[in-house]
Amino acid sequence: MSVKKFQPADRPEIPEAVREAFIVDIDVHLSIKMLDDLFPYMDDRIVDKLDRPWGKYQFEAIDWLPTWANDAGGIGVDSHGTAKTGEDILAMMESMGTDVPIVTPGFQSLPQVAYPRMKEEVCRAYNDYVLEHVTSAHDNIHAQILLPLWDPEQAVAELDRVGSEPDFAAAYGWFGKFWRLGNPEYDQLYDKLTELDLPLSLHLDVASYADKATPEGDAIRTWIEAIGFDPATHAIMNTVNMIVTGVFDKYPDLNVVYQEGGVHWLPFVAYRMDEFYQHTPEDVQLAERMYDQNKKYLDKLPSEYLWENVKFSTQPVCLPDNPKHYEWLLEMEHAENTLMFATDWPHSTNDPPTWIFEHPHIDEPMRERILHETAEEVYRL
Amino acid sequence: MTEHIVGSVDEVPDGGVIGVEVDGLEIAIFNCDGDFYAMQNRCIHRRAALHRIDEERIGEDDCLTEGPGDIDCEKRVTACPWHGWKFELETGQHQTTEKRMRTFPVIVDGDELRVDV
Repeated sequence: MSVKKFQPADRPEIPEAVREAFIVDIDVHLSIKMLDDLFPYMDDRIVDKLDRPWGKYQFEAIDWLPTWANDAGGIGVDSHGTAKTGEDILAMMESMGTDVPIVTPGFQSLPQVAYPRMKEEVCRAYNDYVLEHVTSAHDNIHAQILLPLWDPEQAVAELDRVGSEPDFAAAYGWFGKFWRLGNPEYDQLYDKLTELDLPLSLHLDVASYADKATPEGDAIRTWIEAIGFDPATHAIMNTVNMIVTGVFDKYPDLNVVYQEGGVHWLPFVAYRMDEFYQHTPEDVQLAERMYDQNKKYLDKLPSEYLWENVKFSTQPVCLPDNPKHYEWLLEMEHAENTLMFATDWPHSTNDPPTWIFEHPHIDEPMRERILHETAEEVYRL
Repeated sequence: MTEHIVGSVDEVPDGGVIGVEVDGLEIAIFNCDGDFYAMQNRCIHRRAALHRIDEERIGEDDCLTEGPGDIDCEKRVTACPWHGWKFELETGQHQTTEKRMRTFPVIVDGDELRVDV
């Protein structure tokens, strides 16, 4: 591991326990404008077609925003600042007591954009930008490779291009409604990721609310539903899809990380998967990946893959009012192996690390696991 | 209850807030048009310090919006700088859930500010 303690010990506004801890924050957002800031890094000039009044709106618009739900103003993405460069990230590390930030591209609306060729330009341009302007500022700053996840062949091509760069600690995509990663077309991506020893990090995307043409989508009235819950249903479905189609039988060393997908659904999904699998396991062999491996059943119970191959950001932490209940949740969620600390800085949903030091039921070994040990095992640091 | 001197009225700007410590208690002192309020200085949500509302944000010039932290003297409400939870200055009550922050009486004696803890 090439990272070491970053924080100087003389920042009195940061609590002493935070200063002294080793903190890996797995979800620190850059605030790059995917067209304006990245235009100079794009080669395929089809993107110039967007450079006209309101032209970018066609690329960036989404249906739901929190502007009504939170009257602090804006859409909540710059509530605590904006970072465009490595120097901005260093300032964030100093103000938050962070030692290793895993920088997140954002671009959470990109999956729903209609123009794949332009979207691939965004990915290539971002990956070049982040190496030039962000990770170069300090050895501890690590980035994630923005993948064109809508096209597994292109995703592999991008990994071929930049996947060996040591400043990248993970590959990055989204877990929303636009694809399911148990699809066998993604095996080429998993071949490449395991070859490069990179985890696949999947972030909430802000367009994964239900389609308005469905009764569910037509009924939505609030940001709570659109972003608080609809995306989490996709995190659940994508996880189950990958497990029961044998992704982790074929790729036992692959790690998948959910950023901002919620966590407390884990016990339900673990118990439900195992119960169903033991009752109705026969159609698992119909999945193409299982057939190609000549497998009738999974090698393990479904929940075992959940605990071993899938990881989760702590943010949004959703602490229960009763602290004892959180202790039980941590135990049921196998938190020592599944949870990794994240802030989501600088968004309005930011979870600073105070809770992890002050919670009466998080002991020292658990704190160490969540703050850095699991992340050091999962990310290519 | 004991009165503790926490500073002078000049130290809390109008529309602003400072953080003080009294016997290990962290307290935020607010000034709205010369009316002073004291409230526990750790938000009941994630323990953020309320008095850090005015800190400049990283990349401030590129931010399109104000931070979530705020003091609204017209409504006598403060919003926590981390997640914008809003509390009434007079009662410490969180407006949405009716949970309460602890508040303390403030005594203005000439230029001197005292908090009754």
